[in-house]
Amino acid sequence: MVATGKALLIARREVRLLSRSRATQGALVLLVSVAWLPAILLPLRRGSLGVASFTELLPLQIALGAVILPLLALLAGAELFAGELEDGSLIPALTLSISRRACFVGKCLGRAATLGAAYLVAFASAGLAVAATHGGTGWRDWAVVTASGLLVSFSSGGVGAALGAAGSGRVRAFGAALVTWIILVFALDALLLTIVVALAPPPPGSIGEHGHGEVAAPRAPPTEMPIHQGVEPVDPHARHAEPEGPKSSRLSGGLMALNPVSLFRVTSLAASPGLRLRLALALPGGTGAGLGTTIVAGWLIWLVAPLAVGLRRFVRADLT
Amino acid sequence: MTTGRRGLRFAKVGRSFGDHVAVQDLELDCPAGVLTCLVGPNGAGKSTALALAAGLLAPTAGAILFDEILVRPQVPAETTGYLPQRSAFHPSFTVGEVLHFTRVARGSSDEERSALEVTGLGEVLDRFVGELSGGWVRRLGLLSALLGSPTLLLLDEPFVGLDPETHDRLLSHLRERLESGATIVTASHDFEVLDPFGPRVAVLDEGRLRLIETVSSSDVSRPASSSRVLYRRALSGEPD
Repeated sequence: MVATGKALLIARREVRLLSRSRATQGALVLLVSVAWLPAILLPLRRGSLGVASFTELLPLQIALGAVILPLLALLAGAELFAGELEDGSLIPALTLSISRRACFVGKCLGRAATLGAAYLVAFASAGLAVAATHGGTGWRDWAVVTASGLLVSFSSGGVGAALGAAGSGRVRAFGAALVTWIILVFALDALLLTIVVALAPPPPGSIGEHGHGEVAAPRAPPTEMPIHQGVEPVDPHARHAEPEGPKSSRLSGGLMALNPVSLFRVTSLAASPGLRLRLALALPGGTGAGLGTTIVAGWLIWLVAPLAVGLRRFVRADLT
Repeated sequence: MTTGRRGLRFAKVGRSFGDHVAVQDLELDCPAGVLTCLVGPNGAGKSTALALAAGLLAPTAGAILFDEILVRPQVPAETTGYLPQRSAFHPSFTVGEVLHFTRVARGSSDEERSALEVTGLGEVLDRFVGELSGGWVRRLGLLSALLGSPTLLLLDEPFVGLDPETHDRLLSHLRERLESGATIVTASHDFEVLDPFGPRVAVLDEGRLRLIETVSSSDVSRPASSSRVLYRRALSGEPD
């Protein structure tokens, strides 16, 4: 049997195992809550019953997703290997003709497929309910936010898997996952946002109005008013400043890509100029040019690198 | 031995866990077609030696070879059947599912009947592992190790928890496997059970090999040559 077949055998085993697990049922309930509660609760502010529109829904979905999805995925990832290695129930599989590499890939595939399906069921059902009530306005932004939620879940799950892959036990793996969650969601996210804002060039026209170095919110969406627009350069050398917008945008995106949670926010916001204003989280100097590449590269790294680290730890681990 | 197989070889193998030395300078040949029995007091390094041979642990010194191929990572796991000291299977799987998984992973088919007969698990195929007693889980561990006729069998306390019938069936099965040229290494204190095999007895203590001697299967009636005596002699430091 080729390695792919063995990885798929392990993946099927993982799916079967998860389908019988109460933790999976709990995760599904939590995901349904995250997907549905904002849609149901937001109209209550207006004193009405029903579901919110996509546009109303997005800010809360981003805020909730940035906190809850990484936590859920980190814990699920940490348990992926730590649980079975602690119980010893993975040992029989590893002493069969299944390499550790195939075992790692198979278990990751099986868990990603199961929890990814649960995520899609939860959010697709909420999305369908919103579309049925309000029509399709804003669905693209919602779809981007939902897709980036899946990406932050997979990348956080990979980090969790790397934490639990050395077989140091559930308690240590869960502890490490919780500390990582605090770092990613609170400490690092806040730090990166602070740096990005601090490094941001002042918006056009802010000098004199707000003073040097003062950060002001853009007056209009960056896509509608690029940074150089309306500023007539006097010195021909000043034209070199023109690419500053995209460069600054790439720098901001690059910094935010250091953290999958921040990347989730950037991806969600970059997809919707309207959201950038509403959340007062404009990308400094952002015309958005070059940001897409940074975001894609950031996600690729966050999806692959933790799994590569996890695989390395799992292959080298003492498993008894 | 007619297979031309070399068997398992520990070449100056060492393994530490932090400051604790579990196995030190272990130099041991376990020939094919011969039962090698690791004996020694608790904590002597027997289970660590078996886990090293199964590739679950990496040695901190030396090398382990099976048929002159490094055990980790080259030897394909098809060749190895390992029964750990504590068998564990996920409680939400049925015995039948574990059997199916093991069979598909090993790529075995006909051998299934033989392993099922030895372990007697045919009658509980529909039961979940979580519902089984310790003895049944132990049998499931044996099934997992025996299925597919691996050429290297590493059995840690294989007779613990087995009823007399299963015990006897396992003995017969091991004898057949030895005759077919398999390499079998056990960690066991069932001296009287294993002596009729004419085992090669390796006495370990504090991670070191104290004595290696073969018990002649024709001399089992002579107490002086039994593995129990070898064990006591090695640990007491008495001369031959």
